[in-house]
Amino acid sequence: MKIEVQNVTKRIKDATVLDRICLTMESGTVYGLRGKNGSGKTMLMRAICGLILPTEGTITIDGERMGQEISFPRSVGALIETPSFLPGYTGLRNLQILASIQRRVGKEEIEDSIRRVGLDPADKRKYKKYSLGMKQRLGIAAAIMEKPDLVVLDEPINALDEKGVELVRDILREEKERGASSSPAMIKKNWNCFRMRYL
Amino acid sequence: MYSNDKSKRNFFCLLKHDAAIGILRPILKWLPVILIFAASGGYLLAMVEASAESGTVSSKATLGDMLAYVFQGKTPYNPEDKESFSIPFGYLLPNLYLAYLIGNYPVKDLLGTGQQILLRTQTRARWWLSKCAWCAGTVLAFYLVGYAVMLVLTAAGGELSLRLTPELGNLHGMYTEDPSSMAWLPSAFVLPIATSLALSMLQLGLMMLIKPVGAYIAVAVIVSASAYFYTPLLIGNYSMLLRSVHFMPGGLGFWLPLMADIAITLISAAAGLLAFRRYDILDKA
Repeated sequence: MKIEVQNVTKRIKDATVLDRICLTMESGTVYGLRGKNGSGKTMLMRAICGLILPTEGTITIDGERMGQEISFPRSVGALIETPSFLPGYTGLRNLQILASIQRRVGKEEIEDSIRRVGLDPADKRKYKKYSLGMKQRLGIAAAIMEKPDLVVLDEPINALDEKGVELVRDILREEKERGASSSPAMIKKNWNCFRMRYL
Repeated sequence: MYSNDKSKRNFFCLLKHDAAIGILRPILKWLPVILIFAASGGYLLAMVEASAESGTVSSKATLGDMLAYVFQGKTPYNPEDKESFSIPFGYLLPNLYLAYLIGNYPVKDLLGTGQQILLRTQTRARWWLSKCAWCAGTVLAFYLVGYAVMLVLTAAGGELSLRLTPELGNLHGMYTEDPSSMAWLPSAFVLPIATSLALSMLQLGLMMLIKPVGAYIAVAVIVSASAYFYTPLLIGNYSMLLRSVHFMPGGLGFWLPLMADIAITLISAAAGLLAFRRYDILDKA
Protein backbone atom coordinates (compact mmCIF):
# COMPACT_ATOMS: atom_id res chain seq x y z
CA MET A 1 0.00 0.00 0.00
CA LYS A 2 1.18 3.47 -0.84
CA ILE A 3 -0.42 6.64 0.46
CA GLU A 4 0.49 9.87 -1.27
CA VAL A 5 -0.55 13.18 0.19
CA GLN A 6 0.15 15.91 -2.30
CA ASN A 7 -0.09 19.61 -1.46
CA VAL A 8 -3.09 19.07 0.73
CA THR A 9 -4.67 22.20 2.11
CA LYS A 10 -7.82 22.17 4.17
CA ARG A 11 -9.72 25.28 5.07
CA ILE A 12 -12.67 25.20 7.43
CA LYS A 13 -14.53 28.48 7.35
CA ASP A 14 -11.71 31.03 7.63
CA ALA A 15 -9.18 28.77 9.29
CA THR A 16 -6.51 26.87 7.40
CA VAL A 17 -6.17 23.62 9.30
CA LEU A 18 -3.82 21.92 6.85
CA ASP A 19 -1.42 23.92 4.76
CA ARG A 20 0.15 22.34 1.66
CA ILE A 21 1.01 19.02 3.29
CA CYS A 22 3.05 16.57 1.24
CA LEU A 23 4.04 13.13 2.41
CA THR A 24 4.30 9.58 1.20
CA MET A 25 3.72 6.52 3.35
CA GLU A 26 4.37 2.94 2.44
CA SER A 27 3.47 -0.47 3.80
CA GLY A 28 5.26 -2.06 6.68
CA THR A 29 6.14 1.11 8.50
CA VAL A 30 4.67 2.78 11.52
CA TYR A 31 4.51 6.53 11.02
CA GLY A 32 4.17 9.03 13.80
CA LEU A 33 2.82 12.54 13.46
CA ARG A 34 4.18 15.16 15.77
CA GLY A 35 3.32 18.81 16.12
CA LYS A 36 1.92 21.53 18.31
CA ASN A 37 -1.68 21.54 19.41
CA GLY A 38 -3.81 22.62 16.49
CA SER A 39 -1.12 21.93 13.91
CA GLY A 40 -3.46 19.62 12.04
CA LYS A 41 -2.38 16.10 13.03
CA THR A 42 -5.90 14.86 13.60
CA MET A 43 -7.15 16.66 10.50
CA LEU A 44 -4.52 14.93 8.39
CA MET A 45 -5.60 11.58 9.79
CA ARG A 46 -9.22 12.40 9.05
CA ALA A 47 -8.28 13.38 5.52
CA ILE A 48 -6.36 10.14 4.97
CA CYS A 49 -9.38 8.20 6.23
CA GLY A 50 -11.65 10.12 3.84
CA LEU A 51 -13.68 11.73 6.61
CA ILE A 52 -12.79 15.20 5.41
CA LEU A 53 -11.99 16.25 1.88
CA PRO A 54 -9.06 18.50 1.03
CA THR A 55 -9.87 22.01 -0.15
CA GLU A 56 -6.82 21.76 -2.42
CA GLY A 57 -4.43 18.98 -3.25
CA THR A 58 -4.93 15.24 -3.51
CA ILE A 59 -4.67 12.11 -1.43
CA THR A 60 -4.19 8.90 -3.34
CA ILE A 61 -4.10 5.39 -1.98
CA ASP A 62 -2.52 2.87 -4.29
CA GLY A 63 -3.11 5.29 -7.12
CA GLU A 64 -6.81 5.76 -6.41
CA ARG A 65 -7.79 9.31 -5.61
CA MET A 66 -9.78 9.84 -2.44
CA GLY A 67 -13.07 11.65 -2.97
CA GLN A 68 -13.14 10.63 -6.62
CA GLU A 69 -12.28 7.01 -7.33
CA ILE A 70 -12.74 5.97 -3.72
CA SER A 71 -14.54 7.58 -0.79
CA PHE A 72 -12.49 5.81 1.86
CA PRO A 73 -9.41 3.61 1.91
CA ARG A 74 -10.46 0.11 0.86
CA SER A 75 -9.21 -1.47 4.05
CA VAL A 76 -8.81 0.80 7.03
CA GLY A 77 -9.15 0.55 10.79
CA ALA A 78 -9.24 3.84 12.62
CA LEU A 79 -9.44 5.29 16.06
CA ILE A 80 -9.71 9.03 15.70
CA GLU A 81 -9.88 11.10 18.86
CA THR A 82 -12.24 9.52 21.36
CA PRO A 83 -13.66 6.06 20.73
CA SER A 84 -17.40 5.98 20.34
CA PHE A 85 -19.63 2.94 20.55
CA LEU A 86 -23.24 2.16 21.30
CA PRO A 87 -23.58 2.70 25.04
CA GLY A 88 -26.24 0.08 25.65
CA TYR A 89 -24.27 -2.87 24.26
CA THR A 90 -21.29 -4.86 25.54
CA GLY A 91 -17.86 -4.40 23.99
CA LEU A 92 -18.17 -7.71 22.13
CA ARG A 93 -21.62 -6.85 20.77
CA ASN A 94 -20.39 -3.46 19.59
CA LEU A 95 -17.53 -5.03 17.67
CA GLN A 96 -19.84 -7.69 16.26
CA ILE A 97 -22.12 -4.97 14.90
CA LEU A 98 -19.17 -3.28 13.19
CA ALA A 99 -17.82 -6.58 11.89
CA SER A 100 -21.22 -7.54 10.48
CA ILE A 101 -20.89 -4.84 7.82
CA GLN A 102 -17.96 -6.36 5.96
CA ARG A 103 -18.03 -9.85 7.44
CA ARG A 104 -14.30 -10.20 7.09
CA VAL A 105 -13.95 -11.67 10.56
CA GLY A 106 -15.99 -14.00 12.72
CA LYS A 107 -16.70 -14.13 16.42
CA GLU A 108 -13.38 -15.81 17.24
CA GLU A 109 -11.27 -13.13 15.61
CA ILE A 110 -13.35 -10.44 17.29
CA GLU A 111 -12.82 -12.08 20.65
CA ASP A 112 -9.12 -12.39 19.91
CA SER A 113 -8.82 -8.70 19.18
CA ILE A 114 -10.59 -7.89 22.43
CA ARG A 115 -8.14 -10.11 24.31
CA ARG A 116 -5.23 -8.49 22.48
CA VAL A 117 -6.08 -5.14 24.01
CA GLY A 118 -6.37 -6.66 27.46
CA LEU A 119 -10.14 -6.80 27.74
CA ASP A 120 -12.35 -9.79 28.43
CA PRO A 121 -14.72 -10.67 25.58
CA ALA A 122 -17.05 -12.37 28.07
CA ASP A 123 -17.41 -9.15 30.08
CA LYS A 124 -21.16 -8.54 30.34
CA ARG A 125 -20.83 -4.89 31.26
CA LYS A 126 -22.30 -2.45 28.80
CA TYR A 127 -19.99 0.03 27.06
CA LYS A 128 -21.40 2.92 29.08
CA LYS A 129 -20.07 1.25 32.23
CA TYR A 130 -16.53 1.03 30.83
CA SER A 131 -13.74 3.17 32.26
CA LEU A 132 -11.98 5.63 29.94
CA GLY A 133 -9.05 3.23 29.57
CA MET A 134 -11.35 0.34 28.68
CA LYS A 135 -13.13 2.48 26.10
CA GLN A 136 -9.79 3.37 24.56
CA ARG A 137 -8.76 -0.28 24.45
CA LEU A 138 -12.03 -1.23 22.78
CA GLY A 139 -11.46 1.54 20.22
CA ILE A 140 -8.06 0.04 19.40
CA ALA A 141 -9.59 -3.43 19.17
CA ALA A 142 -12.15 -2.12 16.67
CA ALA A 143 -9.38 -0.57 14.59
CA ILE A 144 -7.32 -3.76 14.33
CA MET A 145 -9.91 -6.55 14.46
CA GLU A 146 -10.41 -6.83 10.70
CA LYS A 147 -6.67 -6.87 10.05
CA PRO A 148 -6.88 -3.79 7.84
CA ASP A 149 -4.18 -2.73 5.42
CA LEU A 150 -4.09 0.70 7.00
CA VAL A 151 -4.35 1.37 10.72
CA VAL A 152 -4.88 4.97 11.81
CA LEU A 153 -4.63 5.59 15.52
CA ASP A 154 -5.04 9.08 16.86
CA GLU A 155 -3.70 9.46 20.41
CA PRO A 156 -3.94 5.70 21.00
CA ILE A 157 -2.47 5.83 24.49
CA ASN A 158 -4.91 8.41 25.84
CA ALA A 159 -6.32 7.29 29.18
CA LEU A 160 -4.16 4.16 29.21
CA ASP A 161 -2.05 3.08 32.16
CA GLU A 162 1.59 2.03 31.74
CA LYS A 163 0.62 -1.53 30.98
CA GLY A 164 -1.82 -0.28 28.38
CA VAL A 165 0.86 1.87 26.75
CA GLU A 166 3.13 -1.16 26.48
CA LEU A 167 0.25 -3.12 25.04
CA VAL A 168 -0.31 -0.54 22.31
CA ARG A 169 3.36 -0.56 21.49
CA ASP A 170 3.29 -4.36 21.18
CA ILE A 171 0.16 -4.24 19.05
CA LEU A 172 1.77 -1.76 16.69
CA ARG A 173 4.84 -3.95 16.39
CA GLU A 174 2.67 -6.98 15.70
CA GLU A 175 0.66 -5.05 13.15
CA LYS A 176 3.83 -3.95 11.47
CA GLU A 177 5.07 -7.53 11.34
CA ARG A 178 1.73 -8.85 10.17
CA GLY A 179 1.54 -6.25 7.52
CA ALA A 180 5.14 -6.41 6.39
CA SER A 181 3.60 -6.19 2.97
CA SER A 182 0.71 -3.95 3.80
CA SER A 183 0.32 -2.26 7.10
CA PRO A 184 1.24 1.33 7.57
CA ALA A 185 -0.03 2.55 10.91
CA MET A 186 -0.19 6.12 11.98
CA ILE A 187 0.06 7.31 15.49
CA LYS A 188 0.54 10.62 17.15
CA LYS A 189 3.25 9.98 19.67
CA ASN A 190 6.99 10.31 19.61
CA TRP A 191 8.14 6.77 20.01
CA ASN A 192 11.68 6.14 18.88
CA CYS A 193 10.95 3.06 16.85
CA PHE A 194 8.70 4.92 14.42
CA ARG A 195 9.28 7.27 11.58
CA MET A 196 8.24 10.71 12.62
CA ARG A 197 6.67 13.42 10.58
CA TYR A 198 6.53 16.97 11.92
CA LEU A 199 3.60 19.18 11.05
CA MET B 1 -13.44 -4.24 -5.82
CA TYR B 2 -16.76 -4.66 -4.10
CA SER B 3 -19.00 -7.25 -5.66
CA ASN B 4 -22.71 -6.59 -6.05
CA ASP B 5 -23.54 -9.18 -3.42
CA LYS B 6 -21.18 -7.59 -0.96
CA SER B 7 -22.63 -4.14 -1.68
CA LYS B 8 -26.17 -5.39 -1.13
CA ARG B 9 -25.21 -7.15 2.09
CA ASN B 10 -23.34 -4.08 3.17
CA PHE B 11 -26.36 -1.87 2.53
CA PHE B 12 -28.68 -4.32 4.26
CA CYS B 13 -26.44 -4.18 7.36
CA LEU B 14 -26.64 -0.41 7.28
CA LEU B 15 -30.43 -0.51 7.06
CA LYS B 16 -30.54 -2.95 9.95
CA HIS B 17 -28.28 -0.72 12.02
CA ASP B 18 -30.38 2.38 11.31
CA ALA B 19 -33.64 0.56 12.02
CA ALA B 20 -32.30 -0.82 15.29
CA ILE B 21 -30.47 2.24 16.56
CA GLY B 22 -32.48 5.00 14.92
CA ILE B 23 -36.02 3.63 15.24
CA LEU B 24 -36.40 0.69 17.63
CA ARG B 25 -33.76 1.41 20.25
CA PRO B 26 -35.05 4.86 21.35
CA ILE B 27 -38.34 3.24 22.34
CA LEU B 28 -39.25 5.95 24.85
CA LYS B 29 -39.27 8.53 22.07
CA TRP B 30 -42.35 6.79 20.69
CA LEU B 31 -44.35 7.26 23.86
CA PRO B 32 -45.19 10.91 23.08
CA VAL B 33 -46.44 9.79 19.64
CA ILE B 34 -48.95 7.53 21.36
CA LEU B 35 -49.90 10.35 23.71
CA ILE B 36 -50.32 12.92 20.92
CA PHE B 37 -52.63 10.70 18.88
CA ALA B 38 -54.43 9.43 21.98
CA ALA B 39 -55.04 12.98 23.19
CA SER B 40 -56.37 14.09 19.83
CA GLY B 41 -58.56 11.02 19.22
CA GLY B 42 -59.61 10.79 22.86
CA TYR B 43 -60.73 14.41 22.80
CA LEU B 44 -63.10 13.64 19.92
CA LEU B 45 -64.52 10.63 21.76
CA ALA B 46 -65.00 12.71 24.90
CA MET B 47 -66.78 15.43 22.91
CA VAL B 48 -69.07 12.87 21.28
CA GLU B 49 -69.84 11.28 24.63
CA ALA B 50 -70.64 14.64 26.20
CA SER B 51 -72.89 15.50 23.26
CA ALA B 52 -74.60 12.10 23.53
CA GLU B 53 -75.31 12.74 27.20
CA SER B 54 -76.85 16.10 26.39
CA GLY B 55 -78.88 14.44 23.65
CA THR B 56 -77.47 16.46 20.73
CA VAL B 57 -75.83 13.41 19.17
CA SER B 58 -77.21 9.91 18.90
CA SER B 59 -74.38 8.00 17.21
CA LYS B 60 -70.85 7.04 18.12
CA ALA B 61 -67.75 8.40 16.43
CA THR B 62 -66.41 6.18 13.66
CA LEU B 63 -62.80 5.49 12.72
CA GLY B 64 -63.43 7.76 9.74
CA ASP B 65 -64.56 10.56 12.06
CA MET B 66 -61.43 10.12 14.11
CA LEU B 67 -59.16 10.13 11.07
CA ALA B 68 -60.86 13.26 9.81
CA TYR B 69 -60.61 14.93 13.20
CA VAL B 70 -56.97 14.06 13.84
CA PHE B 71 -55.83 15.15 10.36
CA GLN B 72 -58.23 18.06 9.96
CA GLY B 73 -55.60 20.77 10.33
CA LYS B 74 -57.15 24.20 10.27
CA THR B 75 -59.53 26.12 8.05
CA PRO B 76 -57.71 28.84 6.11
CA TYR B 77 -57.14 31.88 8.25
CA ASN B 78 -58.10 35.25 6.89
CA PRO B 79 -56.30 38.08 8.71
CA GLU B 80 -59.07 40.42 7.60
CA ASP B 81 -61.58 38.48 9.67
CA LYS B 82 -62.22 39.82 13.13
CA GLU B 83 -61.39 36.46 14.68
CA SER B 84 -57.89 36.13 16.02
CA PHE B 85 -55.67 33.30 14.80
CA SER B 86 -56.11 30.22 16.97
CA ILE B 87 -53.08 27.96 17.16
CA PRO B 88 -53.93 24.52 15.72
CA PHE B 89 -52.16 22.37 18.29
CA GLY B 90 -53.66 19.19 16.85
CA TYR B 91 -51.84 19.91 13.60
CA LEU B 92 -48.64 21.47 14.93
CA LEU B 93 -47.80 19.01 17.71
CA PRO B 94 -47.51 15.83 15.61
CA ASN B 95 -45.55 17.64 12.92
CA LEU B 96 -43.14 19.30 15.33
CA TYR B 97 -42.64 16.09 17.24
CA LEU B 98 -41.95 14.16 14.05
CA ALA B 99 -39.34 16.79 13.16
CA TYR B 100 -37.83 16.22 16.60
CA LEU B 101 -37.68 12.45 15.92
CA ILE B 102 -35.89 13.11 12.64
CA GLY B 103 -33.84 15.56 14.71
CA ASN B 104 -30.16 14.91 14.79
CA TYR B 105 -29.81 11.13 14.59
CA PRO B 106 -27.91 11.08 11.27
CA VAL B 107 -25.40 13.71 12.39
CA LYS B 108 -25.12 12.23 15.88
CA ASP B 109 -24.57 8.84 14.28
CA LEU B 110 -21.78 10.29 12.15
CA LEU B 111 -19.98 11.58 15.22
CA GLY B 112 -20.22 8.26 17.00
CA THR B 113 -20.38 4.66 15.86
CA GLY B 114 -21.63 5.85 12.50
CA GLN B 115 -18.14 7.03 11.64
CA GLN B 116 -16.80 3.50 12.07
CA ILE B 117 -19.72 2.16 10.09
CA LEU B 118 -19.16 4.67 7.32
CA LEU B 119 -15.51 3.65 6.96
CA ARG B 120 -16.63 0.05 6.60
CA THR B 121 -19.42 0.70 4.13
CA GLN B 122 -16.88 2.30 1.80
CA THR B 123 -19.21 4.74 0.06
CA ARG B 124 -20.90 7.87 1.21
CA ALA B 125 -23.82 7.27 -1.15
CA ARG B 126 -24.78 4.00 0.53
CA TRP B 127 -24.68 5.61 3.95
CA TRP B 128 -26.88 8.45 2.72
CA LEU B 129 -29.40 6.12 1.09
CA SER B 130 -29.65 4.19 4.31
CA LYS B 131 -30.38 7.41 6.18
CA CYS B 132 -33.09 8.25 3.61
CA ALA B 133 -34.61 4.82 4.21
CA TRP B 134 -34.37 5.41 7.95
CA CYS B 135 -36.17 8.73 7.47
CA ALA B 136 -38.97 7.05 5.49
CA GLY B 137 -39.13 4.28 8.07
CA THR B 138 -39.44 6.77 10.90
CA VAL B 139 -42.28 8.61 9.14
CA LEU B 140 -44.11 5.35 8.41
CA ALA B 141 -43.64 4.10 11.96
CA PHE B 142 -44.93 7.43 13.26
CA TYR B 143 -48.16 7.08 11.29
CA LEU B 144 -48.52 3.38 11.99
CA VAL B 145 -48.38 4.14 15.70
CA GLY B 146 -50.94 6.90 15.14
CA TYR B 147 -53.29 4.62 13.19
CA ALA B 148 -52.92 1.89 15.80
CA VAL B 149 -53.84 4.32 18.58
CA MET B 150 -56.88 5.52 16.63
CA LEU B 151 -57.91 1.95 15.93
CA VAL B 152 -57.69 1.01 19.60
CA LEU B 153 -59.58 4.13 20.66
CA THR B 154 -62.35 3.57 18.14
CA ALA B 155 -62.58 -0.12 19.00
CA ALA B 156 -62.94 0.84 22.64
CA GLY B 157 -65.36 3.73 22.38
CA GLY B 158 -66.54 4.16 18.82
CA GLU B 159 -67.48 2.33 15.67
CA LEU B 160 -65.02 0.62 13.36
CA SER B 161 -66.24 2.17 10.14
CA LEU B 162 -64.55 4.60 7.77
CA ARG B 163 -67.77 6.52 7.06
CA LEU B 164 -68.14 10.07 8.29
CA THR B 165 -71.05 10.67 10.65
CA PRO B 166 -72.94 13.74 9.36
CA GLU B 167 -74.30 14.74 12.74
CA LEU B 168 -70.75 14.93 14.11
CA GLY B 169 -69.90 17.61 11.56
CA ASN B 170 -70.26 20.34 14.12
CA LEU B 171 -67.82 18.46 16.41
CA HIS B 172 -65.04 17.54 14.04
CA GLY B 173 -65.71 20.40 11.67
CA MET B 174 -65.72 18.17 8.60
CA TYR B 175 -68.72 18.84 6.44
CA THR B 176 -68.98 17.01 3.19
CA GLU B 177 -71.74 16.96 0.61
CA ASP B 178 -71.81 13.19 0.49
CA PRO B 179 -70.92 11.58 3.84
CA SER B 180 -71.13 8.11 2.34
CA SER B 181 -68.44 8.95 -0.20
CA MET B 182 -64.99 7.61 0.55
CA ALA B 183 -63.27 9.97 -1.89
CA TRP B 184 -61.63 11.87 0.96
CA LEU B 185 -59.83 8.81 2.35
CA PRO B 186 -56.75 8.99 0.09
CA SER B 187 -56.29 12.58 1.24
CA ALA B 188 -56.51 11.40 4.85
CA PHE B 189 -54.28 8.35 4.51
CA VAL B 190 -51.75 9.27 1.85
CA LEU B 191 -51.22 13.02 1.95
CA PRO B 192 -50.27 13.36 5.63
CA ILE B 193 -47.67 10.61 5.19
CA ALA B 194 -46.38 11.96 1.87
CA THR B 195 -46.19 15.51 3.23
CA SER B 196 -44.45 14.39 6.42
CA LEU B 197 -41.98 12.40 4.33
CA ALA B 198 -41.28 15.44 2.15
CA LEU B 199 -40.76 17.67 5.19
CA SER B 200 -38.57 15.05 6.88
CA MET B 201 -36.43 14.54 3.81
CA LEU B 202 -36.09 18.29 3.48
CA GLN B 203 -34.96 18.40 7.10
CA LEU B 204 -32.51 15.55 6.49
CA GLY B 205 -31.07 17.31 3.45
CA LEU B 206 -30.80 20.62 5.30
CA MET B 207 -28.86 18.88 8.07
CA MET B 208 -26.06 18.36 5.59
CA LEU B 209 -25.90 22.11 4.97
CA ILE B 210 -26.73 23.64 8.32
CA LYS B 211 -26.75 22.42 11.90
CA PRO B 212 -29.49 19.97 12.92
CA VAL B 213 -31.13 22.61 15.08
CA GLY B 214 -31.24 24.98 12.09
CA ALA B 215 -32.87 22.26 9.97
CA TYR B 216 -35.44 21.68 12.72
CA ILE B 217 -36.23 25.39 12.92
CA ALA B 218 -36.62 25.58 9.13
CA VAL B 219 -39.18 22.76 9.18
CA ALA B 220 -40.96 24.26 12.19
CA VAL B 221 -41.23 27.56 10.32
CA ILE B 222 -42.68 25.84 7.22
CA VAL B 223 -45.19 23.91 9.33
CA SER B 224 -46.23 26.97 11.35
CA ALA B 225 -46.43 29.20 8.29
CA SER B 226 -48.58 26.56 6.59
CA ALA B 227 -51.10 26.82 9.41
CA TYR B 228 -51.27 30.60 8.99
CA PHE B 229 -51.11 30.95 5.22
CA TYR B 230 -53.29 29.02 2.86
CA THR B 231 -51.12 28.55 -0.21
CA PRO B 232 -49.97 25.49 -2.16
CA LEU B 233 -46.44 26.87 -1.91
CA LEU B 234 -46.32 25.87 1.75
CA ILE B 235 -46.47 22.10 1.75
CA GLY B 236 -47.86 21.82 5.26
CA ASN B 237 -51.20 22.79 3.68
CA TYR B 238 -51.34 19.45 1.84
CA SER B 239 -51.83 17.42 5.00
CA MET B 240 -54.76 19.47 6.31
CA LEU B 241 -58.05 17.83 5.41
CA LEU B 242 -59.98 21.03 6.08
CA ARG B 243 -58.11 22.61 3.17
CA SER B 244 -58.72 19.75 0.78
CA VAL B 245 -61.23 19.92 -2.01
CA HIS B 246 -63.35 17.31 -0.20
CA PHE B 247 -64.14 19.63 2.68
CA MET B 248 -63.57 23.08 1.22
CA PRO B 249 -64.89 24.29 -2.15
CA GLY B 250 -61.88 25.18 -4.29
CA GLY B 251 -59.57 23.45 -1.83
CA LEU B 252 -56.45 21.47 -2.65
CA GLY B 253 -56.87 18.31 -4.69
CA PHE B 254 -55.06 15.03 -4.22
CA TRP B 255 -52.70 14.50 -7.13
CA LEU B 256 -50.98 17.87 -7.34
CA PRO B 257 -50.03 17.93 -3.64
CA LEU B 258 -48.91 14.30 -3.91
CA MET B 259 -46.71 15.07 -6.91
CA ALA B 260 -45.27 18.09 -5.12
CA ASP B 261 -44.55 15.94 -2.04
CA ILE B 262 -42.82 13.31 -4.15
CA ALA B 263 -40.81 15.96 -6.00
CA ILE B 264 -39.66 17.59 -2.75
CA THR B 265 -38.75 14.19 -1.31
CA LEU B 266 -36.66 13.21 -4.33
CA ILE B 267 -35.02 16.61 -4.75
CA SER B 268 -34.15 16.74 -1.05
CA ALA B 269 -32.68 13.23 -1.18
CA ALA B 270 -30.61 14.07 -4.26
CA ALA B 271 -29.47 17.44 -2.91
CA GLY B 272 -28.61 15.82 0.42
CA LEU B 273 -26.52 13.21 -1.35
CA LEU B 274 -24.60 15.88 -3.25
CA ALA B 275 -24.02 17.81 -0.03
CA PHE B 276 -22.98 14.69 1.86
CA ARG B 277 -20.39 13.82 -0.76
CA ARG B 278 -18.54 17.01 0.30
CA TYR B 279 -19.55 16.88 3.96
CA ASP B 280 -16.68 17.06 6.43
CA ILE B 281 -17.06 14.60 9.25
CA LEU B 282 -15.55 16.43 12.16
CA ASP B 283 -15.91 15.91 15.87
CA LYS B 284 -18.61 18.55 16.22
CA ALA B 285 -21.91 18.96 14.41
